[in-house]
Amino acid sequence: MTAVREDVLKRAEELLPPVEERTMPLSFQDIPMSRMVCDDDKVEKYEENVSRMEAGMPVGQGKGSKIPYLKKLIADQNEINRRLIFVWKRSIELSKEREALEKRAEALMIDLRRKDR
Amino acid sequence: MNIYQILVTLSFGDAVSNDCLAIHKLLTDNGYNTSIYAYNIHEKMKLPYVKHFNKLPSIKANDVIIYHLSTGTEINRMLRNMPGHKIVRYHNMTPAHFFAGYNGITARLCGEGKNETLLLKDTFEAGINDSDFNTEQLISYGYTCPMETVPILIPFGDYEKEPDMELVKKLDDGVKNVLFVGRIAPNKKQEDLISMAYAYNRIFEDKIRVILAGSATGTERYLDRLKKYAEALEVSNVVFTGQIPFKDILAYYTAADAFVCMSEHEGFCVPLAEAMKFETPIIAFDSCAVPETLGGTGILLEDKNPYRAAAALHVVLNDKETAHKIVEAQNERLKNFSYERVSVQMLDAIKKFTKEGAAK
Repeated sequence: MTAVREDVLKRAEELLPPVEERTMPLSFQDIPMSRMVCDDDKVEKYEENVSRMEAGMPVGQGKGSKIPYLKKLIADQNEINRRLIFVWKRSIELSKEREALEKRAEALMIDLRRKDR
Repeated sequence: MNIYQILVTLSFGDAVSNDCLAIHKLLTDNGYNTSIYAYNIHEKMKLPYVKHFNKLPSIKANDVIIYHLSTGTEINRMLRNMPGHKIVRYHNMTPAHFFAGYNGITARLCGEGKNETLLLKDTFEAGINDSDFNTEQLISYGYTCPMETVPILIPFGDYEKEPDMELVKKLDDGVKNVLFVGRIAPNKKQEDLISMAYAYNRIFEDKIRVILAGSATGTERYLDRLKKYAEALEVSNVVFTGQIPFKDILAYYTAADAFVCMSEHEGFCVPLAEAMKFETPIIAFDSCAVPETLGGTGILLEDKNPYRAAAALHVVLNDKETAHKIVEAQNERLKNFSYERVSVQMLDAIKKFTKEGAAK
């Protein structure tokens, strides 16, 4: 089989045009990379968006691409609000407690001063 | 004891899936308890013996896992801690750089797959790889387990089915059909076939039709670039078939006057064996497992010069005696891939690595 191969390649060589004519008007690398989106890109973009979202970073440029980020933002805001309300309620409770303790402490001080006399 | 074949994706028509299904049939026919587990299962592959990987039962110490390693996946990481006798069937992994800019996910999976293959080096008790090229790569990764080469099990009986005769007739129009079958994928270098078509059109008067048969799912960007390249070169005699039914593939093979492969990465390259089956003379770029599969047959190109490829093609297309000699040699080579011969090799290897018949 080697002989057949060599024969084909030798005869092929004889058919070639002169070296200077063996040109290509352009190579494949001259064709710019397509920007079209394939299905896998969408999945990858989504994955990338989720990781950006988790890192608290805005996602994408288009309106659609911001939706997950906005959802996360709203969810975050709700969580913050819930915590603020808790802190606010707790602070009211604490202030009432403090007020009561202060009154009690004042009463105790009055009582002690009376006893000292 | 049971034999479990595990792979990431059981698809429809690809080499790894077909190999897995053929091994399943072989094992079942020989009385083994066996089933297939995959993460992704094609609609057409939802068969009683095919189950989702999550349903893999607890493996016993004397069970056997035949693992089809071909991409990056979390199964690669899970496999290390699984019990049982583990045999690798390595189909090779496309280097990630081919997919850069075309498909980020595939590039990432290929890159991770290589690292995971390296990490799995001490996991397997044996290897039954489909080419020496693949076996040698595992050895270079530090694999020390005993390994054998058993070619891909191809059920050639399927190729006896009736092709789409209308398509065969349509292709019989005096134009010579130059075929390549394979996914539209950057490692398969379909652009080199377009360059070759350009050179052919420039230097020869006879007309050829370059048929690129294969799906471009996930490589749409590459397909788009290929089409633009053909357009820029004003090469109108290139046909992209897209995903086609099997009877159409049979029709293209039936009508093909030559099969040209410019691929730069193949772990075996089943279409070469298919072209041999259809007695189509092969011209291929000398790379990876291609010369091994050709086994000294076909015309091997040492470089990618499109003019040289076109001239070699012209000789093969126009010299019947030479084409006949090439096909004769290919027919001899094809005997090595016959279902019967590979079945025996596969069974022998499985018996050997599962402690001789204890598998039943």
